Amino acid sequence: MMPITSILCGALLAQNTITPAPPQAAPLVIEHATIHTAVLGASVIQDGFVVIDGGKIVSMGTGAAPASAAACIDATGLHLTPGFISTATTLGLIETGQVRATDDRTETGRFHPEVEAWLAINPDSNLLPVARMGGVLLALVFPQGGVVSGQASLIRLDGWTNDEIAAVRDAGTVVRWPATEPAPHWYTTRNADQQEKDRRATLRALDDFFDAAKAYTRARAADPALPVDLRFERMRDLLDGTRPLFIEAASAGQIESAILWSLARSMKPIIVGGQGALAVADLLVKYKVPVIVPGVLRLPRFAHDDYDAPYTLPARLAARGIEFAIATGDEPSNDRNIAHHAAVAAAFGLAPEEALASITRVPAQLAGVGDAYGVIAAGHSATLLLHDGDPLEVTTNVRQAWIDGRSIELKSHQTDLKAKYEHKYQRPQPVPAATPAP
Amino acid sequence: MTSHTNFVARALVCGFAVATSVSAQTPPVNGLLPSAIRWDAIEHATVFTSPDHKIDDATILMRDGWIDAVGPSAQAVIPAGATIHDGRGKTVVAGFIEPALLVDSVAFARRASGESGAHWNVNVTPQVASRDLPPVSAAIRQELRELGFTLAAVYPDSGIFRGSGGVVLLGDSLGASQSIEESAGQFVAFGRGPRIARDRDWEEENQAPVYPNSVMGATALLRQTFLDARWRSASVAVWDAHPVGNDPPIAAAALDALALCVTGQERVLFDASTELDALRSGALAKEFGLDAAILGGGGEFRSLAEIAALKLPIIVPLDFPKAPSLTTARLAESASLGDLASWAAAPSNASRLIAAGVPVSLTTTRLERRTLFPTRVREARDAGLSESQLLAALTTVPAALLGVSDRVGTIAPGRLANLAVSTGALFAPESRIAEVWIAGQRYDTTATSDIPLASTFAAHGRHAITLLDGTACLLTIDSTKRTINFESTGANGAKHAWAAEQIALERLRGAFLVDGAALALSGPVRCALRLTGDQLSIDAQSADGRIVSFDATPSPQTDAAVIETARLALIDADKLTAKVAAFRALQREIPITHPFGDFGFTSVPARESVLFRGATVWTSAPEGILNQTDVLVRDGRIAAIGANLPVPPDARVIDCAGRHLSPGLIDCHSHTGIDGDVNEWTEACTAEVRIQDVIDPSDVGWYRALAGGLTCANQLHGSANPIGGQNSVVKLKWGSPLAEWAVPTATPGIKFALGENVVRPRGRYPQTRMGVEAFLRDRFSAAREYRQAQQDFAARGAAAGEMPLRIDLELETLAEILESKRIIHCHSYRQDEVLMLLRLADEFGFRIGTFQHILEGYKVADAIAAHGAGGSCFSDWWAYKMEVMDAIPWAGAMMQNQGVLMSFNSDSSELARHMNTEAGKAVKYGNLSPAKALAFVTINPARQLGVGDRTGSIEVGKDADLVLWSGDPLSPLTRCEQTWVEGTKRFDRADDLAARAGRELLRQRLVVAALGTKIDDPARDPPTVAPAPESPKAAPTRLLQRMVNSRDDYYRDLWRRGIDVRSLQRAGVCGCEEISQ
Repeated sequence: MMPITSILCGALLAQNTITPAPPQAAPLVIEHATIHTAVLGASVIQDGFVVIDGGKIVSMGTGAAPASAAACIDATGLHLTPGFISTATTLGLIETGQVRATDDRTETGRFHPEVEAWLAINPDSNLLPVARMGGVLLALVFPQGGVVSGQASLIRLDGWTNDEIAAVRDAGTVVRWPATEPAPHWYTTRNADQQEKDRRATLRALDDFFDAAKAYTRARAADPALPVDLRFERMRDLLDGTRPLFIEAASAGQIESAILWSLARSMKPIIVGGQGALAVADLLVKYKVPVIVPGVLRLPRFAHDDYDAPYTLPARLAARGIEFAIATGDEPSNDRNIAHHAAVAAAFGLAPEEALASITRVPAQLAGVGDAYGVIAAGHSATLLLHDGDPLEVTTNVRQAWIDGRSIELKSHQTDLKAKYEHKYQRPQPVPAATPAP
Repeated sequence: MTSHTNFVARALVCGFAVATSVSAQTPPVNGLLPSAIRWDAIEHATVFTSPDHKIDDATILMRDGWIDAVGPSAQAVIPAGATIHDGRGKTVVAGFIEPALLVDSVAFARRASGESGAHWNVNVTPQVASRDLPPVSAAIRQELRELGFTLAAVYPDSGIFRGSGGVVLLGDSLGASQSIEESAGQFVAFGRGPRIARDRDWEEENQAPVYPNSVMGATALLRQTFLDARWRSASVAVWDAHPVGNDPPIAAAALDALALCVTGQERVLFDASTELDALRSGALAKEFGLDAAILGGGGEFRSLAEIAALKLPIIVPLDFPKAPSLTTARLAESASLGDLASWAAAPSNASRLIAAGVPVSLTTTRLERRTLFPTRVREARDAGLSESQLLAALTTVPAALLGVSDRVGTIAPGRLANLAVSTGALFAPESRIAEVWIAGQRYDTTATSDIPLASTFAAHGRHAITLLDGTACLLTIDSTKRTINFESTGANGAKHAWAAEQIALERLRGAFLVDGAALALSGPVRCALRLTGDQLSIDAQSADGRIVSFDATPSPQTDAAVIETARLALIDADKLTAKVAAFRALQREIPITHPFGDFGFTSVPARESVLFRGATVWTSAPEGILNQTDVLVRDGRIAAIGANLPVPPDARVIDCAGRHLSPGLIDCHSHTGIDGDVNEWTEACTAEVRIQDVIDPSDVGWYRALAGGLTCANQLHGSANPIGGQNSVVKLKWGSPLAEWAVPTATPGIKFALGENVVRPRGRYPQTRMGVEAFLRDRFSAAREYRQAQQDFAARGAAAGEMPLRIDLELETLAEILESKRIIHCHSYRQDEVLMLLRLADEFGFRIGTFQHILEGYKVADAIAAHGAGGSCFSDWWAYKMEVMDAIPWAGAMMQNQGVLMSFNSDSSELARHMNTEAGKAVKYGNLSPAKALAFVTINPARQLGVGDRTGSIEVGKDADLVLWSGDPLSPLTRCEQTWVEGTKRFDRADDLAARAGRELLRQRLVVAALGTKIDDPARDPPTVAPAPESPKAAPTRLLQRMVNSRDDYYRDLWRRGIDVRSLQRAGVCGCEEISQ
């Protein structure tokens, strides 16, 4: 068994100083683990092994691994899961809240499909190692703002450069659907009619924009010498349904409106939000539209909503057979709490293995990498977490993590600060008492 | 007047004849002089001489503006000189009295604030008197007359101390007010309504914003000003007696204007537009011995018992809330039961108050349009007011309220000839006020009224639908005219048609309301239209919430006649009447819950004797975690803990096998249930404001927190200023009156704040951490000197004839800190600012209760421990602003290990719902034992708040604040099942689950009613009418406008994303988004 150690480094800089992991050089065996494969319909393997090599899972099974020369981790009492995937997050696009210079989430304007999230992600962001320690190994990062916000990118939370961290540069286009119902007066000074006008104008602009994109695509196909439009170029495989639209839509009206609009244009919608999804469940079921639930730990939307409405939403979606992923819906610095969200869904009716799948298998599928990430299965990427307890418990810590077989150093500027001040308190003499000013 | 057999006109003994008291100031008449004879009789009318006394065929004699005689016509002798008016078929009542007519006074208040003797605060202008204001405009007078009003108490409408009112006649009187009473009392407000801004944009002038911005600030200003008025009177008295050696008092016209108010000799009318304002008014009246009255908001029935217990007269507006706007069927999901029930039950407000013994006067004030008044009066009557109660509320009660009962309010000799003459029966829908008499002058009234009235739908044309019973139905959509009609042929060949209402259509979807019969369903049904490809489908939702889906297939036929029939079906009088009757029945069914709203109890919950049997008990006491243990609760306290406790005869036994029992959770940093505003941010020191003045016990956030096991919270002021407001420690007694919420034994506290937030308001000192230190030092020095001066004064005694010292609520509070009677809860992040405050504390000798947030506290934990301060932080928040970049999740455990008493807090109504799992993170980060981790949200915060002797642990003798969990309380896989506060069950998941279906059914019925009532009363909800534009006087400064605009965009985006704006409190922000950028 390989010892699990963590070496503390005292250096403290504004950007993280943790060295990205080298590619997996030799095969590794993890055995006697409780394995949560997240494979649809599969049950937990109480005592199992996984053999990883070349960054992939090459074999797995129950009991002890077949004898080999490979390094071996005895994971007795530990739990093995796929790496968590944070979705609909801005991880890496913003470092410090309220500090504009560190904020690259939102391009100006209303329609900017040409911008791609991966380009602005700071590979040395301090937020990435912190999220990793909470088990987040992949993240589907959304640009923000406008109506068409830009391209979502799937990143690995480890790498030297943007090119290395970007797993999928264009996983889909983020669209922010307008409110379909007027906001009550305590939200706005604009009355229902004015809001209705705003909404119609936005929907009209959205229609015009997509019509123009379609016309452009046809025109360019007929005459490739026509001038290039970056925005519409970026929408080609969107218009034919190759890539999905991630549509922010919360209310039943928004969801219904967004889905009908997408279907009318033969595009592939994924709903982000979905508080009102149950009221239009038949539509989601019939057209197999998945939902990203941005936060289980959130407040009910309306005063009369059941206190546990956000907690039970995943279970209610599951009961209707609607596919969903769970995200934190929170600031990216809190992405490490993603399992906490999934756990509360489990406390309120969702099967624990489904809860786990909602932060592993399903998001991988929604990001278009379901055949490579999100489950523990032979042939899949060795993007794994070894936990010292039930992966859904808040008291559990990640003991070891691998991204594509590369062993990740589980530390952050936070562990450095912890070590620094633990050292302070081990000093023999106490800090001098505060001296009064003259 | 009932017993005499005959009456004749007699000369008035009293020589005062109002209408003929021609002022020396009136202009000379050009032309012929008007007739001087003013002698009139109305005969053969139905007369209510008083609300309880009606004469069916009566005659009224009026002379020179006064009532001369009234009695049965048969006995009347009409003098020859009188003009006779035929009152046949008419009803005559005493002229209505408008007890609170608010007139624009902003210019006068601003002028007063610039004159000698003005108060420093532009919103304190009690010296403004209504007599100094221009007369009520002719248009408003006419409008009121058309409604039957003849007299009004007029009050200035702007500011906080707004000025005094006067009682005026509503006749046309040559450009001058005709007043019958000059002092109708001082009108004060809690900062709502028109405010007086400075003339210039404060941003550009670098001026301070106008204090106060919050309800708690306004309340503090009211208290301070009443105190100052007392002090002023005392000072003047001392000066009068001992002028030598004392400083002459400086002019204080504002405070002088309040002299009679603070001695209870002059009425103080509170503008209380919410129930909480009303309760605050009552508290202030009690504190200062005021002769108070309340101009209510219309929602008093929601806190009926508490408001009635104030025993104050209330002026009740008939501004019923609008039906929630449900212009699309989908919007119905947003209408809360509380809002719907408020809307439906509001007309019963006046009758409920009267039944509770409150003297109620009605007012046209707060109505969107005064012309709505008759409709609203009828609604109030239909909701339970008798005719005589109604008449009293319009005549005798306001007359008594205004102290003019001897002159007006009834029809009797010696009363002013103020009459309202109605066609037909009074308050009948077809009746209207035909004329009014004001001081013997007749005014014809002519009513005017106005009645107000959505793109293209791709499925234009006719469609066939197969209904559930197998029959077919034809659907016709005309997207240009926006009509939707249904027709079907019955078994006997009879054709039926229905027209849809409330139609909203867009390209691919639509919504409407239609009689269920059209779709072989019952009741009104809300329908959603949807076009998927070529497929048109309809989702029909009936009143029980059930949804039935239909697919429509295009049908080529057209039949214009059938469509027309359907259109006519809409106008069906019988249907309308039935709808109204059904609504009245529903109105009566609405439960007035405690608190009113979505999750209230039907009756105030009571204490129980309970034995929790065989639980895993997390004591948060030295005993730690006890397995298989019983806990007995009696009289609100924990009576016994042990194994196999005997069951007392009156106790209920709860089998806790497999379940865990913990102390109620305590949140050391909450902004839940704070009415008005969390920050009084206009000044750098607002030590005088108190959260206790603005506790909102009806905030649904409390119920949600209870459902997560929270039983006690430290409600804190925001962090916008270095010295914020006083805290409030409450138990979550959901369903009990406000008075029971505060924990009286908690250590008084105050919010301080350091770092980024406090230097954010531009143009104000301090702007740096250096300045913060200097500012705090300065204020503490001032407080020390203030207290010293008081002690010196007391030692010398008043005998020397010295001027009394002014009580300053701000310095009083700071002095309490110096005397260790009040502890500081300090919002703080960086280690340097923490050490700064510790240095100051040592220097001035005060106590810091807790450092809040304290995300860098782990760096100086030893120094914090040495002072004895506690720490209250988030479990793992960081990165939300610059000063929290060094926050680490191990901080809680590290600080505790250095001897700091630690708690985790929420600072958010969301986090407050799962404090138990936040505590679990102290195990994850820091490896604390589970019991010690739970203590972060139980006994530790209890000790920090000075309530550790009462709550926070399970020990015999302590308050029975308990939570029953489905499993390990630190696990997110666990659910809170029951929450008990002082032996009363305040949350039970089983009860909550059981009540859901009933709640939803009532909500759906109200939704249907809200949709339906638009037909019988378009005024109640004219969906397409834009609200009246804000009065220009309320126009904010440019910076404020920008702030409002950007907040508007932000809030609307929250709505779009499905986030409740009321959940906006973000951890660590403390409501400061209001003032950022």
